[in-house]
Amino acid sequence: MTPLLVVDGLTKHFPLRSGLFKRSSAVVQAVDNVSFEVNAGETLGIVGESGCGKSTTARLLMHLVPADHGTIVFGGTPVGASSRRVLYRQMQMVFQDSYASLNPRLPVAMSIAFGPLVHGIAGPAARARAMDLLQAVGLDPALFASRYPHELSGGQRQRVNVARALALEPRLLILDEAVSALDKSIEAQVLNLLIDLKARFDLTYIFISHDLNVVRFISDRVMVMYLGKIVELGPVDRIYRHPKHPYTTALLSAVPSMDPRRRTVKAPLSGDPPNPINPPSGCRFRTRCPFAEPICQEVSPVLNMVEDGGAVACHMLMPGSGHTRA
Amino acid sequence: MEDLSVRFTTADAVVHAVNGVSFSLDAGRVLGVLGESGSGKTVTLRALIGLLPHNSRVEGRITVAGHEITGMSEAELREVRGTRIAMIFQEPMTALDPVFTIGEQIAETIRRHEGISHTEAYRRALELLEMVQIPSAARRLKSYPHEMSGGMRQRAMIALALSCRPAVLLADEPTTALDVTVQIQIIVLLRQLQQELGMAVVFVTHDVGVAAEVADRVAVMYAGRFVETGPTEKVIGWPTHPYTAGLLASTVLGAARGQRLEAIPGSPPDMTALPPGCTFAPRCRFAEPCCRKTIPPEFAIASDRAVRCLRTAAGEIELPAPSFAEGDVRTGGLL
Repeated sequence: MTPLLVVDGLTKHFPLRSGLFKRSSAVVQAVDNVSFEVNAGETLGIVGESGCGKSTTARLLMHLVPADHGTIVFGGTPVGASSRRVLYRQMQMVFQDSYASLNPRLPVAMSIAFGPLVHGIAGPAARARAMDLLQAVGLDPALFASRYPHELSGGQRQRVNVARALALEPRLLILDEAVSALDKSIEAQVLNLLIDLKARFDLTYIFISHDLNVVRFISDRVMVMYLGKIVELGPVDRIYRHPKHPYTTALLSAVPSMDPRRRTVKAPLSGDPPNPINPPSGCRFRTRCPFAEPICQEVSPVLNMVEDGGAVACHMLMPGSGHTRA
Repeated sequence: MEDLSVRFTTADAVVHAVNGVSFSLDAGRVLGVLGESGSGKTVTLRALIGLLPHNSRVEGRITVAGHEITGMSEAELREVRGTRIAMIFQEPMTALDPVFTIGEQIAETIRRHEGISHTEAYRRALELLEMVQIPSAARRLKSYPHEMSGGMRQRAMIALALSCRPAVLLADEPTTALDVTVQIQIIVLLRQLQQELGMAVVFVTHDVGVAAEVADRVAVMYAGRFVETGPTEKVIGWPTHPYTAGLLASTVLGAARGQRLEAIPGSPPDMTALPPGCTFAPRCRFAEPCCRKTIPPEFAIASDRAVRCLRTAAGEIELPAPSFAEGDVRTGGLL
């Protein structure tokens, strides 16, 4: 089976300019040599802390920011900036801020129909599709079609955003913190909706979130990022039950316990994530890693396949790397 | 706090933000107030320290460490704030003053309340930064808020709040804006300081996990009322109000992967036009006509638990107990 999406060597560095001649003074290595695949029908979860590059990865996939390097192949066809119009019929995105991503001056049905209209679908057909989609996301078209975004609650607006993303009948949906701004009871409703729509429209999801519990619930495979690099990738159960990268382990142990009798006694990591401007040399996690050794400072570890599924970028799991635990 | 109610009058409507909240909290105890946005949890907290806007009307009685807050003048409030009761906020960048260094802000606060010398105040500020475990504290005294990371700013704000040794600390979602690895550091720190200093803490959060980590008791808030209160492990392990049960079922923990969640239908009520009777009744699958007629009083269902639900009190409904143990993502891996 060929994967639906193949990403190879995706890189984006943002230069920071300062001074009189706006010379480049530093570089934010937002995404650095990221490669992964997404299979048709699966949900790939992307987790990591702020500044780890998960949202930049999503924006690079959508060509909302141009990549410095790397190739994106969708359904067997390489996609560049020139062919992104074609890509948008296959791949759509839902953002965190449900209000900012809708036009405040358009009734929501028009926002949903806008994409199809732009892509050459006749007015009545586009409108009919918008009505069907409103129904599909659980909003009665008779009540909601002519409302404006400010007349809806956050949960309802996010349903409209999902409908808008589905209007071009894409195969892949990128959900960038799509449920993060919602209250728990509303989040559960939207997660249910996403599960239903996935089955109904044969969708593939890339689900980006900082909420590790939600990612575990919705994903088939998980990709863990740290300062612009993938540190671990694998099936969700393997990652959550047997994390191999020290960062993944720390991240998962930092999740609050739901049991007051099993409270966290000691925080697994100290300090904040380092600044993605001029990140540490070698392994980027080494400054917070309890197992760091000189080799970690010298050589940047590459993603290496592991026995029970997935891949890990850590010298400890690479025989012959020079790390004493390898 | 006795029977607190807070109403906001705006041009078009009256918002019933808090509708009869009573609780008492002993020194050295932590109360977690759990609720979704608009449930009135932040307003309750702000009422405790007299920080509500002018268009609000507050009824009820609030007594903190022997001082009655309700009815105090602004000048009297200024004396109580900091020394008896202090507050930490979700966003330290807006709570700290951007044009003064951390050291100046803390020292100024101590001097204002205790009238001690400049040098002595700075010495205390340094101690405080060390207490909240800010690395190289002496250097950080001279830092401005924007020069610090999010977690460090939150620590600085905690130091500022504790500078005049308050008896009660109010925490308004202090970890919500932080990354998960930093959040747990702040939680562990707050718990440790609370125990060392013997403070009472009211901790407002929307995150059940955070409440489980910090609180001795939790109060679940819905539409301006405490619908359920009790010891944390009992409320989370054995909810007795349908809203609590629904909220716990909405968290994905323990849910089978990719299976539909038991979501609460509908959305929270309009706080300008609350339904009569139980405010949760329109979303509740156990609601009966009686629920829509009278506002349920607090029923004591055990010596340490209370619930505002007619049907639970009558023993008519059985709520599912959530099973979180299975879903606990924390592992005994490498660390």
